[in-house]
Amino acid sequence: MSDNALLSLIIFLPTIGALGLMCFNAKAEEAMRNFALVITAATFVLTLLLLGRFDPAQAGVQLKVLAEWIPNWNVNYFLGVDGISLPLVLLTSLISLLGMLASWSVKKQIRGYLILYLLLETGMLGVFLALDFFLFYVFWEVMLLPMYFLIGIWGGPRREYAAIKFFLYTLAGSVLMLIALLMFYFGSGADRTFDLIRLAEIGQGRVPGVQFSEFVQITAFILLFIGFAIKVPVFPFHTWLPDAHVEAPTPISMILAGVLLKMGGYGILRVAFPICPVGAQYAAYCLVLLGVISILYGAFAAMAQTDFKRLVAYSSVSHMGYVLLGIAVWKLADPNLGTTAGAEYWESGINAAMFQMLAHGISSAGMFFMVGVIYDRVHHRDLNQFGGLMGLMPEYGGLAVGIFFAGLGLPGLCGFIGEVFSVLSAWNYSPLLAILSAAGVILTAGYILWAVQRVYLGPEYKGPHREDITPMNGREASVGYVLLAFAIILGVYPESMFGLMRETNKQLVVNMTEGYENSKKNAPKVSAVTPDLGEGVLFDPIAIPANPGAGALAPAIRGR
Amino acid sequence: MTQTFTILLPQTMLAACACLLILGSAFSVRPRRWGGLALAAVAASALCLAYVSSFSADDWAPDAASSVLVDSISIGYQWMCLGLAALFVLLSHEQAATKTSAEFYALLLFMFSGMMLVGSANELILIFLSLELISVPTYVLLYLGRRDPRSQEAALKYFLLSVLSAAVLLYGFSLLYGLAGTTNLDVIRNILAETYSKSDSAQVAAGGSVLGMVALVLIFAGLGFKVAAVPFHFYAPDVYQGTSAYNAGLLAIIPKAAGLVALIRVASETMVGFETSGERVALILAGITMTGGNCLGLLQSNIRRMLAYSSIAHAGYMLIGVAVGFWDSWNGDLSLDAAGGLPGGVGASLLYLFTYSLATVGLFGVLVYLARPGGRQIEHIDDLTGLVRTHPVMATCAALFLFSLAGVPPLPGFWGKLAVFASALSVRGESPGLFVEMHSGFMILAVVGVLNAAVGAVYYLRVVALMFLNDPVSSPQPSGGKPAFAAVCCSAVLLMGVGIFPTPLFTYLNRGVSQIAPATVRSPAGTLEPRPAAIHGHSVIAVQTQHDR
Repeated sequence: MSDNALLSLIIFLPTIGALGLMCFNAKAEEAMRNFALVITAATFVLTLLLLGRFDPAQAGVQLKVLAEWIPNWNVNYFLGVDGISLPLVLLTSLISLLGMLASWSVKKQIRGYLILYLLLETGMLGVFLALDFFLFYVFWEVMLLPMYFLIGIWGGPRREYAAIKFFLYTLAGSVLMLIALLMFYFGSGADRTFDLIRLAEIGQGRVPGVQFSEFVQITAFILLFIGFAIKVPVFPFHTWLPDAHVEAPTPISMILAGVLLKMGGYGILRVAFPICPVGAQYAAYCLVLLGVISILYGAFAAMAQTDFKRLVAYSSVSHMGYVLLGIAVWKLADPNLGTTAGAEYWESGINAAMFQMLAHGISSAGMFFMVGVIYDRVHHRDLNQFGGLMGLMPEYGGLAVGIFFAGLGLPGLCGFIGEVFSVLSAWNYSPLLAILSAAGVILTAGYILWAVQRVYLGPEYKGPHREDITPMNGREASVGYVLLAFAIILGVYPESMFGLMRETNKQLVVNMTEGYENSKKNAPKVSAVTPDLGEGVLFDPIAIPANPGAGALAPAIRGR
Repeated sequence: MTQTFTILLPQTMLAACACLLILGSAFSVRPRRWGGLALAAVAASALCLAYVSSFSADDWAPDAASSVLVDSISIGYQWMCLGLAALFVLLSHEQAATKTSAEFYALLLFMFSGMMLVGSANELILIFLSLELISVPTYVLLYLGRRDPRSQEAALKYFLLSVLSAAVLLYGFSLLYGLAGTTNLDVIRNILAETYSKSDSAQVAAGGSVLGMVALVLIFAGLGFKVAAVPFHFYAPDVYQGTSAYNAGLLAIIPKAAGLVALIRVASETMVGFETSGERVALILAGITMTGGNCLGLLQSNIRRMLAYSSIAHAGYMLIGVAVGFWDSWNGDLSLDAAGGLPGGVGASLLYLFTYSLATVGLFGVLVYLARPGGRQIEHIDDLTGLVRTHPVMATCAALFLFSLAGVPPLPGFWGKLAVFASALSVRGESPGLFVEMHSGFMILAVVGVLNAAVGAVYYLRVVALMFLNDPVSSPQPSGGKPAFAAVCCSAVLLMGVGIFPTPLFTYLNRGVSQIAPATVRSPAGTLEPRPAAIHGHSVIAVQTQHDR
């Protein structure tokens, strides 16, 4: 299979499956479930093929696919993978497969559910594989609609409120992204482009004659960051998350926590950082601070919950804080020259952030699944009424404790690596913030151990629906075992993921430090020659034409 | 003379058929027959339009003083009008099932004839005439339908305010006539261009003469009523709520489209030397119209009232494009991208109009098709609760239209919004300052615009949520007949098609705006100079043979 076909098939196989579902008899629910499961499994296999073709020793984007989509706007169907996107693509297809296995608990309107689920998978994979900013934006929005309906139709009692809140938060973020997108587009020189790689080169000052000014970089970064921060979610923008996670059905919670939150981090690494190094450096302290606040706030909020699912939801806020912390620990040695201090710490921070995203994808999906399994049996999630489940469901109890420990960050399990490395890399940036974030680790241990104690340990469960408690069935157990296995593999052998992303992240750090130095170097020089070039050229985002006198219609001198 | 008639063939055909219908109504009252005839009239007009558009620009004898014009905008706009006319005739299947059916269709055809005439008019008087050709049948239509006090009030309110706005508009036109001494748009443009290139540039920079500015503001006020821009919008919510869904649909589309095109023809393209003032007026109107419409839309529970505010908000987005159009014409290039890729402000505005009309006709079509049990039309948005269970096709179509209006990609509403915001962000500022690259006014407008898009999504989404996420309380009855159903499905299919493959539309629009050469170019040195007559305005393709006069 050619590279073209492979990447496109990964994205659109679920859509083909969704179309295929329409041919089924509405009564054949079991057949439709199995068909959808086969489709997600096939998608997972395809992403494994992708992994086989990927060369981890190479830093740039590989397996590119390029086709015209809307030539008027120079929008292309441009796909590719690198070390940042590949692990997330694998995570997406894995969690989608496991979520599909968990979807047997969804009972009503199966066909609609499965169709939307598969469309959602297309949207998610599209976001991670798109290298054209416009395509990225379209997939970003495409993913929004199925999610809205999946929460709104199949969710819990307050589903409508949760669905609308989720939709509006994300939409508000994405319209801000739209502005940034257009700013880049009009600033990208005479041959305007949405190509993320080209835009990054322009932002880093590696394209002669075109450069986003500091103003554009800072403004665009703030706009983009708000859009992505809503998705992560970062502290002041997180309020949609507890509602959406709690109301969504179990498999959708798994996807929300396992994949959708990663889009925020991915967007920062793929779009906001490379294109706006100046903006990123400008906001770095704020980002780290917000990360630390999210860690602490999420942990305290989780500790205060009595609803099991809400606790897990707030733990996501806390865990995703480490991602932001790791990404943003970019310290300057000399602000005037723009030289970076301890780039290797920053690089390890980005690696840690990426790893934390993957680890959280596994552990939080697992935690939501474990909550869902018990909710299906006892139909409540009140922590104060649980207790002693270990005795009744030993297999479930064991798996659940394992996965919660992975979330806690127990050494040897996946959560540990990401947390500890992002805290370590933060020390170079600011010891104070590093200490505060390390305190988050203790709080995490606190609320998770307390939850484990209240739910699984103690005297035998006497709460509602005691008689309905049955052991896990084979399907549920397989989801649990797979997640726990991945938690252990990642924890014991983190190199499996670090190996994929190392070169790309190293390149990202090099590019961004150079980009920042370039714009510091260029800024005074350009202003010195400004009088010769004429009015408006100094900070002009539109191409500085090779020949400034090239006619009245040349874009650069159209301003009045 | 013959060429003028050739150009006006499509409009004449519609109007002639309308006259025949009125005559025929004396002999028969069978409603179905008249519907078929009206559809045939639209088809005949489409044939005429196909004939007119088969000419190339070279086939027309040039004349700068022609009263009508042909350009890509007018052709594309007329095709859009005819498409909408066909949809509206289909939708009216049950609406017109009364004794007055022939009159109903005649009025409908008159309105669409007027709507098309705006696109071809190159004369102040012709533009005014075509706007009246829309308004007068509207008054009658509003009275024809229901006879309860509420709809009477709506009709009266619309009548009085519409007459007032016509007077204001006419006053603006007369001042413009006073300024230029002619009613022909091309000639006005030439004269203004000459005047303001000779006078000192300080006055031009300040926005032109006081007389012209007053004319501009009055024209904006008069046409602002047609497009329902804040603060000329007060009639819209009451009238939409008071009248039937069908009439509300007509009001939401026809006057808005005609007003927008008239505004582009008279203000953006013609009033050379007043770009700065026009830009300011349009900027402010756009900002308050979007915000006002969307914020008030949030509070509504009557579906037509909500859609009235939504239509107001959308007028605001279109005005962004108009504002950019002024900037474009000041800069001597109506196309945003000199290399030819994107529609400029005017093009963006027209694209927005198209996407808005497509979604709006469909949405009102759903309301026409459905009725509450007992035959009363849908009033409250709660009447649509759980629609997906009772009418899955209608619910899905309605959701598509609502998402398009909200601007969710890849539906056409998104492309419209994208074009409008892109045109605003492509405008760059006068001097380096805080907002270094972007023109601060347009930058702020774009940000206000996208925030508005998010606010607007709230009330569209509320309707979608009611339709999809709740269980039905009552089941609406299909009352619009099969043709209405077909019309709604047609618009939905068209909507999806345009959404996924927008390229032809962009290509066409870009050609459309690039054919209108603006009157002046701004040279690098900063002086304003008139364009050579040869490439002036529509004169390249505007026609009237020499021996006509």
